[in-house]
This record gives sequence, structure tokens and C-alpha cells, in this order.
Amino acid sequence: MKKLLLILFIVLLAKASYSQVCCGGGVYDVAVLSLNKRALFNVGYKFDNYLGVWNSDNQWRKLSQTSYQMTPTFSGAYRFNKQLQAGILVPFVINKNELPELPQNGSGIGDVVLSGRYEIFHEYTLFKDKDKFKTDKKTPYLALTFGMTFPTGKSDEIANSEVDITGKGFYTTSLGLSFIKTILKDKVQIGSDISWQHSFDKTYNKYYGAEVPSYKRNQGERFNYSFTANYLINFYNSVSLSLGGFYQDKYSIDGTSIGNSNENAFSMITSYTYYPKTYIRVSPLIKWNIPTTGWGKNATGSILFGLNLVYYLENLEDL
Amino acid sequence: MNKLLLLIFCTIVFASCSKENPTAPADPVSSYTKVLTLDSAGFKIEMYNESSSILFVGYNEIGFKVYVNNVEKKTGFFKYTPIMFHTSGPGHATPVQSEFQYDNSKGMFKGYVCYSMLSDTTSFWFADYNYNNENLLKKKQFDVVLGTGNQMRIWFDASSSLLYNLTLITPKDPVVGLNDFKVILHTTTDQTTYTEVSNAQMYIRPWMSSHGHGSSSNVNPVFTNHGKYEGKCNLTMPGLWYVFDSIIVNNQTISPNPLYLVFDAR
Repeated sequence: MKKLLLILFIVLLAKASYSQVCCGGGVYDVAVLSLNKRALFNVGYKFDNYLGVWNSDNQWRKLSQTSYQMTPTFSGAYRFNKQLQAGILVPFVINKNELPELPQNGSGIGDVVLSGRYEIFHEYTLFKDKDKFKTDKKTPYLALTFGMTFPTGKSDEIANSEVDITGKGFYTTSLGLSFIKTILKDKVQIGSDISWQHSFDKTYNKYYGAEVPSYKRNQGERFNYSFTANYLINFYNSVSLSLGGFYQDKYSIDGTSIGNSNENAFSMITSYTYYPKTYIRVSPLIKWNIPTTGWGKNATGSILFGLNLVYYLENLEDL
Repeated sequence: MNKLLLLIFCTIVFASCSKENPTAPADPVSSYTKVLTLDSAGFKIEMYNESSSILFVGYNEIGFKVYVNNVEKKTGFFKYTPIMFHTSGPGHATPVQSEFQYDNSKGMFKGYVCYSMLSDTTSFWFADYNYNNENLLKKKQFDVVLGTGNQMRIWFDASSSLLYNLTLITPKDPVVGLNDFKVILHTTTDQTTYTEVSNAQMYIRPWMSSHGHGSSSNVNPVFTNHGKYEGKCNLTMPGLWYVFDSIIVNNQTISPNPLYLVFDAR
């Protein structure tokens, strides 16, 4: 009986420690639940300090003025069963742009994101082999991810100024894959996330509140990618490094694509995660672009500081 | 100790008695640079350009100092008439202020000229210089080169059978943020005489084509004087911006579609 309890304890411990970095260990999306969590509530904060912009010739142009965006976010996620979970993210956007004679401050609710994932495989699941329970050490974690962004923020159609903009103004859907594989158990994981984002047309009848002849604008198709490595220092601490970026195709006006308007950028993210309790997670992170010619096109470069405080509800049911 | 205090006191007193007079008037033409000097039979002209010793294609803020028998003239008017000749084909004039009046603050006869072309091996600029219809210098050659930041748009409006010239005054060196947007509009029927247009309505729309967005807080240019229109354009981020300008004269849109000026905001 003691042996059975000991085995059970080890299995539970392994599962718990794995869950600390799995899924939630990625730095892009904290609203993701591991198998032993039923729900989470997250309070996040991002400070995105804009450094400059790459032009259409991939040349880096430094910003001379102070310009940043702060985004407190509230997010939550709920696991329905072993395969399916869903999440919601509600951002509040605070803009600052110190240009003379222009409005310098603006804020408002941003675009709300609903997301979900269908988990096809989990790592370290138990299976029965000749009346014995064994752990599957080969299968990686693999999930199909999907989501939708709602234009709940204020776009350039009705905003009074640039700092008043808190949203894109159009619906966006996303579809992707999330992959994680433990290399060294309870120590090292690698993962990758890829996603395709499709934006729907936005019809403009106004621009910054002034009436304009009606036209349709469509943001180009976007492809996001990231590669992440997690290192579990001990039961309470982990660090991760992520390399990521995106490529976005040319935007179009009334169906005509605009030449040389495609975008891309590359960024690096490093984060640290502290787990004071199994149901609490504290994750500061830094994301930065390389502000040099050649590392982006038609995109903004910035350095971002973030902090996420996550509270989990444990999953007490056997999934 | 007393000697030391006395020394410090004297130092302060003498230092404050500098001969330098901070309120001395500045040279009124210091912001202008001499471009050329013409001298013939006691009639001497010095031509100045604001901020450069070169004349550029596009808008030039210029001035003339006039001397007759070594006496500087500060009254009356001055007329400047540039004409371009080509080795083949007819010549033409270019928009220029009809009369230059003496500006005491600048110490010269001040006005503008908008050169529509640059000098090259087949195209030559000449000018007539006229003071008060009393002294005249004719057909003196000079050079015009391409400059950075100067822009001019020329188009024919079929509905009115007029040729229009829109010339940028500012910004020549655009910055990120709000820029003074100044243009000057001329019309001509024969490319010999140009008329300043004073009754146009202008509507500008900055657009960053590579990013697919415009900007807020722009101010449409309004007429000020001498065919000039002043407004504000907001170039919100570094990079290439197109500022589209729709122009209406006598309730008719006379600008081609599209009519735009290009700016590289830094």
C-alpha cells in the first residue's frame, strides 16, 4: 500500500511540475491551461516602448519622440475536458505619443480576443500495457489553436487622434498549431507556435471622424511563428527564451493590393516565471526587436516589458 | 582674506562691464546668401536666396539689393523676369512674384520665384532685372539645379483650359509630427505670364502607403497672400508619406486625380 501511495505521489508530482511550464510556459499566451488546471484568471500588464519603424526598404528609422503603449489586460481560460479549452482576453489600452501641438494621451478598451485550443496529444499521459500503467514519454504535446479578435476598440475610423486608437476596427480569425516536447524531463522543453491570421474587410465611411468617400480596406494575411525553449530551474522557478516574428502580406484598398506594403518583423522574448504556489504564477517578461536595418519591414520596433499574475483553479476531476 | 574678497569683487565687476553689446541689431540679410552680382553701367544688382547660394528647382525665397551709381535703392519696386530657352522648341517663363517691394527688415527687395526646370546642356535660364522701370539689365544667364525637398506639380485642366502650377514652400525637411504645410498656386494660359490663384479651396490627406494609414489633426491650407496657402500636415511616423491635395476653384475640382506631394518624414 505504501508503495502504491509513493508511486501515486511521484506521478502526481511529475504531472504538477510538468504543468508549471507546459502550455503556460510559452511566453505568448498565458491564458492556457495544463491538464491539471480547470480555469485561470490572469491580470497582465505590458509596457511597449516604441523605438522606431522599418520602412519599405527595410531601413530602420529611429523615433525621436517618446511614444509608448501600456496595456493592462484581464484574461481567463476554462478547460471543458481533456481536449478542449477556451480563453478570453480583455485589454485596456493606454497610449502616449509626445509630439508637439498634437494630443499626447489616449486610452480605452481594446479589441477583445476569444481563443480556444483542441489538444490532440498530451505529454506524459498514462497508458495501460499488460495490466500495468505506463507513462508515454514519446508523444509530444500538440494542439490546434483557433481564435477570433473582435473590434471592440476604437479604430482610426472614429478616433479623434492617433493616441485615441485602441483597436484595429475589423474582425480577425486565427488558426494555428502549438507544439511542445520535453527534452529533459522536468528540466528542458522546446516548443513552437505557428498561426495564420485572416482579417475581414473594413469599410470606411469616416476617417478620424471626418466623412470620406466609402472604401474597403483589407489587411493582408498574416503568419506568426515562434520557437521557445523553457528551462525549469527548480520546482518554483523557470526561465524561457523565445524567438518569433511574423510575415504579413500586402494590404488592399477596394480589392487592389498596394505594392510593397507587406510587413515582417523578428523579435526575441525572455521571461522568468515564479510559482510560489501550484495555483499562482508570476511571469515578468521582456520582448525586444533588433533596431537595425534589415530586421523588419513596414513594422514598428519596440522594447516591451510585461508582467502576468495568474491564479489557477485546480482540476480535481480525472480527465 | 580681505584681499581675496576684493579680488573676487573686482573680477565680477569687470566681467560684467564687457564691451560686447548683446542688443546690437543683427545683420538683416544674414539669413540670406548672395547668389550672384550683376554690374553694368552704374546699375548693380545683388541677388540673394534664403539659406542657400544656389537657386533650386521649385520655390525660392529671394531678394535683391539694388545700387544705382553706388547708391543703394530702398524705395520703388523691382521686377525679376526669368525665362528658359531650349535648344529646340519654344522658351517659357516661370511663376515669379510680379513686383518685389523693399523689405526694411531684410534690407532688400524681397519676393519669390518658382523655377519649373533645371539648367542643363539643352535648357538655359536667362533673366531680365528691372528697377522702377528706370534701370534695366536684360538676358543675363544663370543656373538652376535640383534641390532636395523642393517639389512642383504642373498639370493642364481641360475644363478651364488653364495650366496650373502647384509649388511646395514647406516642409522641405519634414519631421515626424505636425508640419507647416505651405504651397503656392499659379495658373497660366501661355506659360509666359503666370497669375497667383487666390480663390482656391484645398483639402489635404496625408497617407502612408506602405503602412496603409493616414493621420489625424491635419489642417486644410487656406489662402494667405500672393497665391500662398497655409495649413498643417501630420506625418505621424518616420517614412514615406503622400500628401494628397484636392483643389477646387470656382466650385470646380481643378486638381488631377491623384495630385500629391511626397515627403520622407524623419
